[in-house]
This record gives sequence, C-alpha cells and structure tokens, in this order.
Amino acid sequence: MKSKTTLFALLAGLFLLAAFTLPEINSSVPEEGEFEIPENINAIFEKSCFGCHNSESDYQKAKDKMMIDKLGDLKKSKLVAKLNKIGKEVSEGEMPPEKFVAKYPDRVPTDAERQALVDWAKNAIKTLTKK
Amino acid sequence: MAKKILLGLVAVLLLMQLVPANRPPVKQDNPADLLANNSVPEAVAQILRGACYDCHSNETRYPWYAYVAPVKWLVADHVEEGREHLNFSDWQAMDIGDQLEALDELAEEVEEGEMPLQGYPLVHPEARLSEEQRQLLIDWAGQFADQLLE
Ligand code: HEC
Repeated sequence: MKSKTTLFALLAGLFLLAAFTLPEINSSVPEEGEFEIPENINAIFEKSCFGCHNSESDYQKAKDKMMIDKLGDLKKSKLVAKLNKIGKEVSEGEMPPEKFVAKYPDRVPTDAERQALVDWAKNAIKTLTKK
Repeated sequence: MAKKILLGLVAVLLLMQLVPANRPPVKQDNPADLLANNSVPEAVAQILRGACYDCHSNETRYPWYAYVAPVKWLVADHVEEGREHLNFSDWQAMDIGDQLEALDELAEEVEEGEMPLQGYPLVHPEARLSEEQRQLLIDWAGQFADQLLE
C-alpha cells in the first residue's frame, strides 16, 4: 500500500516536473526574428575567424573584443555595432590579421567569401534596425 | 662652440616655422552636429565638448602652440586623425550602423582609458575625467545607442 502511494507521488512529481520544464525546452527554440548566423556564413567564420573570436578560443585579446558564436547574447545596439565592425574590418582587409594570413594562407577568406560576409553583415544590420 | 650650437638650434627652430602645418579648418556652423540635434544630458554634453570635441568635431579650439612648430604638426595630425575616425559634427549624416559602432567604441575607449588621447589632459584640464565622469559617459553611450533603435 505504502509503496503504491510512493509510486503515485513519484509519478505525479515526474509529471509536474515535465509540465514545468517542457515549455522551457520549447522556448529555447529560436523565436522568429532572433539572431542566427546562416550556415554558409558560419562556415566562413569557422574557417577564418573562430580560431580567435570564438568562446573556445584561448586568445583572450581577440575574445574580449568579440566572440562570434556569442553575438546573439548581446543587446541589439551592441550586436549592430559588432556587425558594423565586422563589415568594416573584413572589407578593408584588416581581419584576419596579417600574421594569421601569412601563417595560414589556406584559411584566409577568398574575395567572394569576404563579399559574402560584408553583404550578410549589411543585411543583418538592416533587418535589426528596421523600425 | 656652445654659442655656435645654440645659434644653429635657433636657426633650425626659425626655419621650422616656415613649414606649414595644414591644420584642419574650424567650422562653427555644423547642422548635422550630434549635440545640436539630440537631447544629450548637460553633464554629458559638457564632457564631450571639453574632452572630445577638439579632435572629434569641426569645432576645434586651437591653442597658441598649434601655430608653433614642431608642436603644430603634432596637433594638426591628431585633429585630422581624430575627425577621420569620428566626427561628431557629421553625426546626423552617419548611418545607424556607424552611429552604434561609434557609441560602442566610445564606451570601450573611455573604459580602457585610451581616450581622451594620452597627453591631451595634461594641457587641457577640462579633459581630466574623474571616474564618475567616465562612467557617466559610458552609461550615456549605452543608453543613447538603445534610444537610437527605438
Ligand atoms: C589570429 C587571430 C585572429 C583572427 C584569425 C581573426 N581576428 Fe579579429 N581580432 C583579433 C584581435 C587580436 C583583435 C583585437 C585587435 C586590437 O584591438 O588591436 C581583433 C579584432 C576584431 C574586430 C574588432 C572588434 C571590436 O569590437 O573592436 C573585429 C570586428 C574582428 N576582429 C573580426 C574578425 C573577423 C570577421 C575575422 C575572420 C574573417 C577575424 N576577426 C579573424 C584577432 C583575430
């Protein structure tokens, strides 16, 4: 008898737990309009930038400036600021840095890839700042 | 001997004065100016004018030594580079991305003590910012950036 009650309580507990945690799981699915980097763009970042600008990187100076995989955590005004900077640094050829270019020539973005990054950043800013 | 060296030095100093500095021109009427077009708290406006506007606007207040070589070249260079980087006199003509980037950069530079430029506060007492003034400027930059998106 006692074990039946315990079992029942346990089931009820599990049910409640599920009821409370499920919506949370749902809400972690990106909402419409939330910031997401498209796969083709992310592939370029991965090749040319993540070595320094990723939360896993151990280049603190670059991480302090920007972690590309954490851009979505920034408030909107800051996100736009960083996207603007990405567009500028990439189009002016400032990033990736010279030393990196010399050391890893195969990880330097091609002209087409640079253009893709710049266009993407520009469009993302447009979408984010639309009133 | 010492007299000759001194004389030579004076001659060089005098000759230096003949080389122009190309100071970026001053313009007082700037219809696209940041402070003229936005309601910026007075305390913040005062900091911007006192500590930033000499290099980051068209309203540079050139001191007397901006007319004396060799310092005049240094001053001219700083003002030119400062305006190139960010010119508050052109604020309204900047696109929103550049404005938000400038505000982010502003906060970062002030936080890290990179701005105002080293040496400038030595000769400009109003640019010696207290910790409170720095924080005020940083907080304003963040709030103003959010406001621009509203
Ligand atoms: C070898 C390491 C390295 C690589 C690879 C690299 N960066 Fe950087 N990046 C840095 C460092 C270091 C800084 C800080 C420079 C400074 O402050 O002087 C920086 C700064 C930046 C900034 C300025 C951020 C700010 O807020 O001031 C941007 C934007 C940027 N990088 C974008 C990129 C992009 C996009 C790529 C890939 C195409 C890239 N970087 C690749 C090291 C790197």
